[in-house]
Amino acid sequence: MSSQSDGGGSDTPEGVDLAEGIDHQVAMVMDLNKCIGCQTCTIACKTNWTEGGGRDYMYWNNVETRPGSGYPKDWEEMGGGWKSEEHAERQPGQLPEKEEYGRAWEFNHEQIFYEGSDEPLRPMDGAEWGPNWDEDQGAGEYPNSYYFYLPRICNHCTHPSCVEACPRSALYKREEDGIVLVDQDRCRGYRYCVEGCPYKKVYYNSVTKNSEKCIFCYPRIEGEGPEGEVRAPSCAEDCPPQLRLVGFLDDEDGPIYKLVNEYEVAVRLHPEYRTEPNVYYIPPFAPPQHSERGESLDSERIPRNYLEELFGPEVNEALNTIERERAKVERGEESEVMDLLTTENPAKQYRLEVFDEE
Amino acid sequence: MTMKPKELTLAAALAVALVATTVAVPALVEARPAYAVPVHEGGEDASFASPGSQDWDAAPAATLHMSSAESGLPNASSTSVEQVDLQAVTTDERLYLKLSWADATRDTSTSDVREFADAVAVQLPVNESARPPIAMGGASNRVNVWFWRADGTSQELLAGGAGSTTPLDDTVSNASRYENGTWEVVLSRDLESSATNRTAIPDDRDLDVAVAVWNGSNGERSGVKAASSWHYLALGGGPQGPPYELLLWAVAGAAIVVTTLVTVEGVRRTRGES
Amino acid sequence: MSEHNTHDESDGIDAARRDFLKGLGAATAVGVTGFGLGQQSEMQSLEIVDDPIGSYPYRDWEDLYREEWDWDSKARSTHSVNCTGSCSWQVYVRNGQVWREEQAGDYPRFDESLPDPNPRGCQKGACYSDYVNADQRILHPLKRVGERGEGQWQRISWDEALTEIAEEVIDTVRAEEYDAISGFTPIPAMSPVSFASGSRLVNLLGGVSHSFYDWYSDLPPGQPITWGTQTDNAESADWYNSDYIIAWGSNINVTRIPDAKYFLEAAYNGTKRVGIFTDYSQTAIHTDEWISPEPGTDTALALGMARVIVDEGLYDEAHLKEQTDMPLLVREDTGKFLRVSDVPGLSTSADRPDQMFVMQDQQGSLRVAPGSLGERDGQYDPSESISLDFDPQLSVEGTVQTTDGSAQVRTVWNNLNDELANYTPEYIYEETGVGEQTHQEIAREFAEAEKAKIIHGKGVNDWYHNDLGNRAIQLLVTLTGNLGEQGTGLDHYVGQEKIWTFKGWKSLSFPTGSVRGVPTTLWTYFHAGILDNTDPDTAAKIRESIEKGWMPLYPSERDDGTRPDPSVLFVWRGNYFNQAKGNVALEEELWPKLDLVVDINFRMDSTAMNADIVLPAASHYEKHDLSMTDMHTYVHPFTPAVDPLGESKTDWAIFRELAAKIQELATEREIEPVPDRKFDREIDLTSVYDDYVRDWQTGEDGALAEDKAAAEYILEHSEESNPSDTDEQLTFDEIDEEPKRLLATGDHWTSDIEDGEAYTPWKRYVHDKEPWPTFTGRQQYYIDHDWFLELDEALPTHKQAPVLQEKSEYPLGYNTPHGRWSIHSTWRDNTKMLRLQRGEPIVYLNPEDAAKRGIEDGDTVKVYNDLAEVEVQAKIYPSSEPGTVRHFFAWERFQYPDRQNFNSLVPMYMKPTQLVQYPEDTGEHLHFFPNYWGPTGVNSDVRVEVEKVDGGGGNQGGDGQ
Repeated sequence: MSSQSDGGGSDTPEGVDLAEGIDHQVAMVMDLNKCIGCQTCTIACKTNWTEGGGRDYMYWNNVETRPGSGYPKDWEEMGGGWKSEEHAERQPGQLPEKEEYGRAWEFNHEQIFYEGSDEPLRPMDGAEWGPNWDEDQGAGEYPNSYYFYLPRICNHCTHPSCVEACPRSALYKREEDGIVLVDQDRCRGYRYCVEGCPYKKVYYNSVTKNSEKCIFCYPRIEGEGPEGEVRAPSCAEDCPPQLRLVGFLDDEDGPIYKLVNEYEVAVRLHPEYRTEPNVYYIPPFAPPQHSERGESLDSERIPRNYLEELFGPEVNEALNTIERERAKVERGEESEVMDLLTTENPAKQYRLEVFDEE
Repeated sequence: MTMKPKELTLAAALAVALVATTVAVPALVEARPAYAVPVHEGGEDASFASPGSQDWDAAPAATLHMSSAESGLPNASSTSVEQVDLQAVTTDERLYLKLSWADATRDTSTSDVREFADAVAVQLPVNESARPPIAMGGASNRVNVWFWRADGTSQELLAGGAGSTTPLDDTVSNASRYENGTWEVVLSRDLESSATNRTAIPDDRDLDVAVAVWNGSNGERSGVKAASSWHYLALGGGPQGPPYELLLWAVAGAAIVVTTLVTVEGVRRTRGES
Repeated sequence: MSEHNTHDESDGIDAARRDFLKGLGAATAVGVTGFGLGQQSEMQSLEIVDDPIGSYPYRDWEDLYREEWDWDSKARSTHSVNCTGSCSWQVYVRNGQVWREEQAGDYPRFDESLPDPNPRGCQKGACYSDYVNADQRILHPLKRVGERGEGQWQRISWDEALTEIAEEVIDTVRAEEYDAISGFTPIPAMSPVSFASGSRLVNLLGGVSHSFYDWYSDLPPGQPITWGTQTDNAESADWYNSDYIIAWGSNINVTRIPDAKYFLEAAYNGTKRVGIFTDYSQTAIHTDEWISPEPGTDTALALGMARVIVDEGLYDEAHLKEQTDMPLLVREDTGKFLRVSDVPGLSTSADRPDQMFVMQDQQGSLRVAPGSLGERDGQYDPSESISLDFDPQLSVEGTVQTTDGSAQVRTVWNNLNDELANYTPEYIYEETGVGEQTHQEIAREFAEAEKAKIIHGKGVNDWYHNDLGNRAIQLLVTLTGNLGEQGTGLDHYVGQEKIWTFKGWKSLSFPTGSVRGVPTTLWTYFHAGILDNTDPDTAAKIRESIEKGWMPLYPSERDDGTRPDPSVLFVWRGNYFNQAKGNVALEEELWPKLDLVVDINFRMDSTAMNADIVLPAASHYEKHDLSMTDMHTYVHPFTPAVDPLGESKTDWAIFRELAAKIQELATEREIEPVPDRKFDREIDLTSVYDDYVRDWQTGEDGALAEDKAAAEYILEHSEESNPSDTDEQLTFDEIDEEPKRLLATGDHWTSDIEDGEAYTPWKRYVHDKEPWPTFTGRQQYYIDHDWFLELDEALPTHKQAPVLQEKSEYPLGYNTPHGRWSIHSTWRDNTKMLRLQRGEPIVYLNPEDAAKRGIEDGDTVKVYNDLAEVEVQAKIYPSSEPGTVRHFFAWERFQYPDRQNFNSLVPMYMKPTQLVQYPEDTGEHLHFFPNYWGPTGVNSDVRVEVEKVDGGGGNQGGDGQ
């Protein structure tokens, strides 16, 4: 590994801000125009990492319907992050309530199947909210309602406020790839990281009394496992429409750099939290609105100000660029952006071993 | 404020007991300097493992005044526990410390993301010859911490400054009870320890001690705690420092009675009886 | 294939750790080591961290998660549910148990310009392992001790179970009531060996095999009517080749999750994607334009678009002349096609001039239209051609001298033009709510696109007039000539009707070749009392169809005019009881007629709950089988990752052992062979096991004892995997190494598989000019069957839905679409899936409809009509069209408080046009064939009302609170 560290260093491409002390930064671009809310990523993550032992309620990866309350419920109203670009003072945050996550319901299968119960199959302790409770609901009025799906993992931020929040320094950012981890030996379950993360992507495990979070599937990207094979995070690799691109932010030839820095079509979720997430989104477009006479109008369905609320003002230029690039392809011209967003060349989609020789 | 007969009786009994104790052991009390924690020598037949053991009645208590630790964490200055009574007993083999404090809420669960449990910790210098910095010791002057939390967690820790807490093999035993709005926790350890990084408990010198308490339902954990300043366990024997008068103890006793009454009322209100 | 990794475990710690992980749940390990550095009791240094960004000194713990990313072996498998996915998975095994699964991701690419076919899968497939290890898994043979459906069981031995079933079967066959034995199992392609297991035994017993594709209303009747084919679709990869795609009621993003990529990525490939959905659906959100017709008005919308294409001359004239019946002449007096035999002087050497048709060329001469049934040898005859050596006129009106005088004639084209004239822009807006300009613009764009395609879904197919809807939408691709080329066509993906390896599967499933197939819709409705509850006209037509033998019904009518009740029902790989429409009648009328219901299952579904004997089946990760779909052109296997759990056995082993028990008892009792009343064969129970395991092709005894041998049999005997004209052959072990693309197509396909190209249908007709397998040999939009003429449906036309419930009483339409959370009822009860929903059945309501009734999100509501009421949770869905209750389907009965379900609100009704044979005498164009032609079990014309249930605050919790 190179010892180069600072974002302004000689090897780091122009415009890429790496955290001080980090050699390279893994990153992900998620294309919201390909997200169908199927939750295969959620399940893939869950079967890999969060089954049993206090982890059942956790969704390191979740997919939420937007507009909507998300997971945990109304997480955007819970604070966290930084007060200014200097990353000196953190914004206070709150701990979500158990019901805001939703509990991992247990069901009465056996009573019904084998014990003659005439109850319906139900969560045994009732259910009031869950991680996907407002699925498909969105906002607006028929026929001009709107919604889309937003998949979320830990953003492995360049300025992670969860790391700074921990009085024990039990969270850290890996030197070689910038993955943010909670040291499961060192953590004492104080939950300042849970408060401090504005995306509410650190979870408290009441069995281990530790906090846990998305690990960007580091054992997979490291090529661990019996077959020694490098694999992208399971949320990406198992995604049926393949809406995620995975690589390094500072790999100039990689898909992330091109979409984020070169074409600026991938934008951050809630940049105003100032943690500088390393998960980026291709913002959603949608079919136009209808008039009262059932005619298609030349009028956008998803309000721009809503998208700006989510992704900041950069979303406008990103959407304009996507529209221009789509028009190019329609005219029969080449577009690297469009190529990157299709899976005609899957080798381009996951670039994980690019810095291995260092 | 009205009290039920049962509660009144209890408060009165407490007051009487306190006064009786002060009267019965004037020599000891007279010998108490400001930061000294008297150490009672437990008899062979006495039992101190349980906080409810009557043998504890013979051990004098020191009242440690608590204030919010300066941790820089959110809400660090809003801790709720103001004092802890500390009793110390040695037997031939073990040192027993009993910590008692009023806490209107019994918080024993850490099984929800918003649940924190009540806890107490005793801090001792690893090397008793020099007093470490009060906030978890220092890099070159470490502390041992005996940590008990109401969710069943018990740990023996080593620390050399804030954020450096490191678990050791736990050789500390604990027992606890919660009655009438008061936690009573006994922590004990063998006097001898062969392990490194463990406080050697002297029999001829005083040993510095500090205490911290967390009220779980107030969100207290980590550095958000009520902490005492350094005191010392009077293991060296003989009076040290300026004497205190009987009168002073009588005042303290009266204060405890008032606190108890207030606490009882507090518990009552918490239960929604008023 | 089960491939075992050998890894170095020199100190044994790894193995111990894994045992630990498996035993206690992975995360518990974290708890144990959570404070674990304390184990280093002689610790010298403190854990001090200066700045955890980039420099963290204590990283050894990271091995914790590395050790969780570990397994002992893996095996290739997939899921044997009624799903078109056919996705290849690797199943990971740790400590002898299935740990998890991940898409195999190794479908070989055949066209580098298309999106990568990998990975195929969805969230359900990603947690099938839950079922493998589930507490509710059926582990032992069970016998009912309470009432059906009560969930009161007695555990019995395999021998007891098989003996009881065998005795019932022997008694039934001896009484010559073998056609009262029914076997229901859907969809061979998802696991042909398991399909064949029971079908093979039922066939040997002279029993009845049930159709499924028509029963589930997946069959689009418009396709056999117009194109003479059960359906044939492009594989989903072909979507990417289109310039213009209309997703017409096909909620791809929910029901075709593994294929959605091709639709989504087409956006970046210059394709315009239009969605036609009544709601702003999960697919509509990812279209470039969404149109929202009123429910049930698709036919009008399609015909309105067709009018635009015709009026504005945007149609493909050459295609219409050569490939369709548009130039054929129709007599105005009878409404029948003008036959060659009607016209003196038109000469033909063919046998049946009465089944040949007439065009008029540019010179005004009458010409014989080539390729009709009159000159063909049966349905499929590649030696004939429809290519024309003259130029017919599309538009003809005049008088023709006939053998019986003269007749006024017009072309089909002229008749069609008259019909289309009704669908003015004003009418389209009034009827469908789609804008006058918008639908015209879409029609123009569709017609002008170089390659345009329609993806057609169940949204259209579930209506009573589904045949008219199909035909109207098909008309759009026909008018524009969008057929027989990559990127074109009408892809109907509803269920999966056919299997690539047809012949191997068929001869394995039905070794005698004498098959009692029955249209399940008719069978169910008849035995559940439909005739007593049907309007007299329809009832008369149903009777006529049965009497004329157009549609078979079993048990057959006996010589004395009586018809016995069905008595024994085997159900495997399906959930007949839960999924039946008209299920109130099914439960009350049909079920009591059955003396023995046997369900073979890995899980307790509603059919198992209502069975008499339940046999524990191996899970999908515990058996050998094959998997295919018409969404792609690959074949890949099931292989066992672990042994069958508990006492469960593979489907093949279960039916084989039942055959053995029948043979054993029949031999003991010296049961004589019974002559079959319909086929030239005897049913010999004393050899039924020998016949079961014998390879009937080679005559080798005992060759098919194991499921893997049965899978190999299928591959060997199918054109697709073992083409007759090459030495190439796909073997089971090869497809276990890697999924393989099929090598050729058999007769039941309409194009060949070509290297480097996605499969696209209809090339045999459009390019090779073989006659379409219709009466006229052309795409046939005009049907001159008497019933069609009588019902005024000779041409596609828009009709109002039948009134099943009065709108005044039941103001809301009731729709039960396929959802994303289950494949039919499988996974409906899965804990992981339910946690990502609301844990119980829900209905989607438009906010205004809800507000009017004082209903809020999360309330418990009663959905009811004249048939039943069900209690469910209300979910407010702003994207719903007002006036519709959307109850995503297939919730199990035991998920409702009163054990009714989504289907309880659906009555039994059938459309007479789907009971016909055509031509009436031979039926070569339309005749009953299971899953090919038969009445569909439609369900979308139903109306309901919704009411808040007082005191119902949503989910109250189930047993065990």
